[in-house]
Amino acid sequence: MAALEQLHERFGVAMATLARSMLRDAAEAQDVVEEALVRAHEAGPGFRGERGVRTWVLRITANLCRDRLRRRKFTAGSLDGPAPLDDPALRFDPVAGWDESLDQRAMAVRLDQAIAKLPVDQREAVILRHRLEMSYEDMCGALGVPLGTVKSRLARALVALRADLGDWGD
Amino acid sequence: MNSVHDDEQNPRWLRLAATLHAEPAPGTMARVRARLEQREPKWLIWLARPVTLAASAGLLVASTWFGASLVASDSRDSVEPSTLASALLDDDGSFGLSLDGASVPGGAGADSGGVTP
Repeated sequence: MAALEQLHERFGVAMATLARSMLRDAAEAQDVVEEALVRAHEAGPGFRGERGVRTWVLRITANLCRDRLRRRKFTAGSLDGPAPLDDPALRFDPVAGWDESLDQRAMAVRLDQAIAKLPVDQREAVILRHRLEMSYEDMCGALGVPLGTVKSRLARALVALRADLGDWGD
Repeated sequence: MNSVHDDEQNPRWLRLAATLHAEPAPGTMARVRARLEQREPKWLIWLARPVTLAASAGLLVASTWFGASLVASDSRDSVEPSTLASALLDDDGSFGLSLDGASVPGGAGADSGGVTP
């Protein structure tokens, strides 16, 4: 149980961020985080440490999120929750050295909304890479797909985001 | 390749994706502990699978065997119709009833008008 507490302490934010970004529903995301911790506890003895603990718990979380999203297809739930920064459980960490004339917070919210419109596989890739700042290798472990697939999903996601946020420039 | 921000092809605004993070709700670990307590022991779940499989296979074999033996006994009976008929007719057409008047209480004599002591 001590190991589980440590897991929660070290990776709870990453798990919650992934679940929240994927599901865009606070209650469902919290449920996924708890279930992921339970599964990690149960699967703990079988953990071989090939990709590291973070990749492993994020893989469990991502799988649970995908299950929920698949179920939503049948229950016709909405993929778009309310504006993310309304929730006190969400933390905004500004990028250092950003152009002060631009409203970084508003842009982050707009970007989040654009990410939410992406297909699930692309959204997942963008969140792992750009929100949780994972390496490509760890993404392969977390998503269970080869490197080429990870890169193509990211490339397609970027095209879609550029199309959506076109006037932002690069 | 590993650093997210090394990729020159990525637009600068994509860095904003990393500005949003969610915190797990307070009391998460307490709820996780409660969930773990509610779950059946893992060994029980593991055991249930082969036991269930073996039980259903056993049930299938038993019902097949029982059905086959029923059919076999049915056909054995049907190839010996004379046995059943003769058992019913007692081989003399009496349907198992004795036709011997003396052995019947108040038998043939009762109808003859005679008085029996």
